[in-house]
Amino acid sequence: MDAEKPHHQPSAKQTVKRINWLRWIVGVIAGAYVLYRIIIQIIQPEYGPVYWLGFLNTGLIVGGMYSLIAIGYTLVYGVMLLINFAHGDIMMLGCFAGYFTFEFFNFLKVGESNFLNAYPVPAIILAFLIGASVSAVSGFYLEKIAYRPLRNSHVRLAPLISAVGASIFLETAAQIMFGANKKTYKNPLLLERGTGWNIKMGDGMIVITKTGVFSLIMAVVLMIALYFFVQKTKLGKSIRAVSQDKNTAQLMGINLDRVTSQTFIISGILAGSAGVMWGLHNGLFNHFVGFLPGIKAFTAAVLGGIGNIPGAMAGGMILGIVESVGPAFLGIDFQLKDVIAFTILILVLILKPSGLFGKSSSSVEKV
Amino acid sequence: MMKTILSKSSKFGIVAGIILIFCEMINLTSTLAEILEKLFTGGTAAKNAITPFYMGLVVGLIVFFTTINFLRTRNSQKKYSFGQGFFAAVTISIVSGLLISLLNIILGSYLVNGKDVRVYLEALAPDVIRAFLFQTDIQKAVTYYFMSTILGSMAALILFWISQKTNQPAKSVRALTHLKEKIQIGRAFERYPAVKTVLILLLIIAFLLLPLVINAYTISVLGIVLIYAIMGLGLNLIVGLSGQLVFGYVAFFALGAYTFGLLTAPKPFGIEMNFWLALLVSLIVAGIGGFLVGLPIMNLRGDYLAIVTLGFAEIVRILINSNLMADYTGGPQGIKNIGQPIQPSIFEKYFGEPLEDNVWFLYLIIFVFLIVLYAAFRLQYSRTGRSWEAMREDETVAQACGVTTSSYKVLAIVIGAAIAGAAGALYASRNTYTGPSEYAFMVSVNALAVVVVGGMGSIPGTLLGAFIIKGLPELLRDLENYRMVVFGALLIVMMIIRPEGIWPVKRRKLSVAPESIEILKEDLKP
Repeated sequence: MDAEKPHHQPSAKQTVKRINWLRWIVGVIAGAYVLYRIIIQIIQPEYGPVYWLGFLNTGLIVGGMYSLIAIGYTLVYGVMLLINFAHGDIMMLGCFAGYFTFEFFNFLKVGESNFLNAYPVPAIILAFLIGASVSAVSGFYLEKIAYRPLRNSHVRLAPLISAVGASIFLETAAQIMFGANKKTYKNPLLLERGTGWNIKMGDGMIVITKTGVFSLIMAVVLMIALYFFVQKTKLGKSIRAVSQDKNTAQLMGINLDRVTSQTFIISGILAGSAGVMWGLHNGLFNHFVGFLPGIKAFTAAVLGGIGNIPGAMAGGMILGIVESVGPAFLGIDFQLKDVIAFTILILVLILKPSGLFGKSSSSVEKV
Repeated sequence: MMKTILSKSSKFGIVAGIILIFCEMINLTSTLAEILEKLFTGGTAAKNAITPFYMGLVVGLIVFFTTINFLRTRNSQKKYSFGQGFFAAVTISIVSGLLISLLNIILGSYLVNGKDVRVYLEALAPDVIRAFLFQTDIQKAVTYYFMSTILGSMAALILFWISQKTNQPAKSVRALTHLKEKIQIGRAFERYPAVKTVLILLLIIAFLLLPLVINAYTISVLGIVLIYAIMGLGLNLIVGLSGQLVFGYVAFFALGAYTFGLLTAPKPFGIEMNFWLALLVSLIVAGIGGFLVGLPIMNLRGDYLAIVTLGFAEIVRILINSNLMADYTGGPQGIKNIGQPIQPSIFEKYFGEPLEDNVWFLYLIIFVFLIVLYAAFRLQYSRTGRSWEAMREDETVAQACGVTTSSYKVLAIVIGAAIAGAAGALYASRNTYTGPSEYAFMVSVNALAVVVVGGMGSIPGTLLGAFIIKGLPELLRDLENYRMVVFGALLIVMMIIRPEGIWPVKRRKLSVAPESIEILKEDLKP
């Protein structure tokens, strides 16, 4: 019976050690490279301070949108332990809804001019309301159709695959319905794209665009509102309770189904607003608009510690800034901007999987 | 009672109406009607001259399925009398008919006023709308659609009622189960293992003779299907067996293709290596890529792997497209004149003349495919395969049983990546070209679809999936545009109804031979 030798397998301790080694190596290499670039930038600066402020400006604006989308990922992850892969496409639907609203207002004649320019403020508010509600409704139905039947599925990957299916469905349906060519947002004159305030600084000039300022303020207001909503209201408390312990929350009389639906509605509202902002600020968009922001917002959520709402806000801002400053700082092509975000994702998962602001105890769940 | 029926059935009617409107907006209704007309009449129907009957048939079918679904779900909770069922069916048909008529009136008024809605809704060209409205006769169209929704729901009601009255599954279903019990193919195989071997050998011989008789178009389709089958087998090891969702599988495919291209193309390096050696190298390079991706995430939950590999795939795609690597990868232009294997002279000796190039290459793909198939079978039923399956079912328990989960996870990714690398090399060599546009996100989705549709963890399921995902769209050219929409919906529906796939794995059951039980009984006797 001694034909079968005991199979050699490293103990759990050895595995952990090996991973720590990997962390050290990667951390030291990445840190050394960043340090090297800092020294280079100090010794022979390629860009003046004006450029850096310009990059910061771009980063903050994009970062605000990332934060809004990232909060959706984090909220849903907290309640369902699911990466809502279709979240980027929910944002895409909001972007389309805002586009159609602005187009409609552009057609609507009021006296000499059209509604869009006669009453720009109500038009913008209505566009945001419609965009947010379209996204909220689609988020609500997405959960009801694609995720709820799978909550107790015996196949572990089933909800995630279903999310992927939903994402493909929404994207390709939008492509067939609205066409694959890029569309342009019709901004009201009040928020003309590309115009803004030029601030002279030394030899250079920073352009602070109106749409940028508007999006950033809007994002910050929404984030503050959400923070108070989650901290103070009854629904916010029940969302937090569910993300801490599902079973106990149910025992305390919280209706899990309802809280899950409401979480999807809230994340849809934020994603829809981000979609309208994206359209207002960037102008060009098509059915594929949600894909990259979606993945990057996920990166932001991981960066801030997934399940952590302030972490997602900060993560989005940090990611936006790093992404716009990164290419100049690291001295690489601006084409490779997207590579930086994904590299950050991989680095965070190697170095600190619980995220920058996540409690280390929460890493137990993931590890 | 009537009130609840009214509210519930009108909800279902709205759902049916939304489905109808959606199908019209993406122009699926008229495409389906066109196909049906072609199918039944055998003629060729043009898009702007579809017979109203077939349009009505499609609309009626959609309402039919919704009504059946309603009756089935509601009836399991509360028994409806025939009158109540009738009431519900009428409500569903009227609500859905109203919705679709509303759309048609709106579209019709746009058409009459000469406005082109294609600016916003690309699928709705004027002649498509004309087809919806039966050549701009709105009144006729509205009555027609109303009639088809009512007929659809009535048909559903009657069918449902008959099945309720007989209170048994349909005759055909019973006959099928009966037949299955009678034949029991599996047991015959168990009793005579030689039969199985002979059948498999016959199948392989038929498969090998196939390229000689089919035409060039079928050869190219079969080549693509087989390359996807190879990819699917590799991804099946990762997703199906070890239970990790890899979402950027195309990255490894691209790594293999580019390595092969760089090693065999005259530009930019001019190495022009031997085919088999280059295939081996690209396999190894893709494997190393898999190792590097797998390493950081080996202790994380499966969902993270999905996004990280997706990120990795994007990194690879952006890099091969960028100016930074343009000297090596050719940037957007890609690599041209990638080497193809030289045909050995044996073929010429036996067949009298050398095989045609595409036939010879198909044989090559078949050869690699068979090797991968064999390897996948051996892996699945080895110690490693069992460890993967244990890990997939429950990681903690697997760990407690002595499976080093982190190493096995990385091993699965490495092997899967290497197989994808081989598939990529074959693909590049087959096209003698490789460029960044070929490695879009959709390739990963297709590979995942191959695995999931067929059945996760099932090798025959994967082969079936490759045929369904890559072969069927070639046969159904009209539906090409809707492939991804249908596929996305299919993924959701499948996860809800049949998460194990079309051809799921049969669990091997441990059993004791009856003779040994007798021996055991003898031994246990005092």
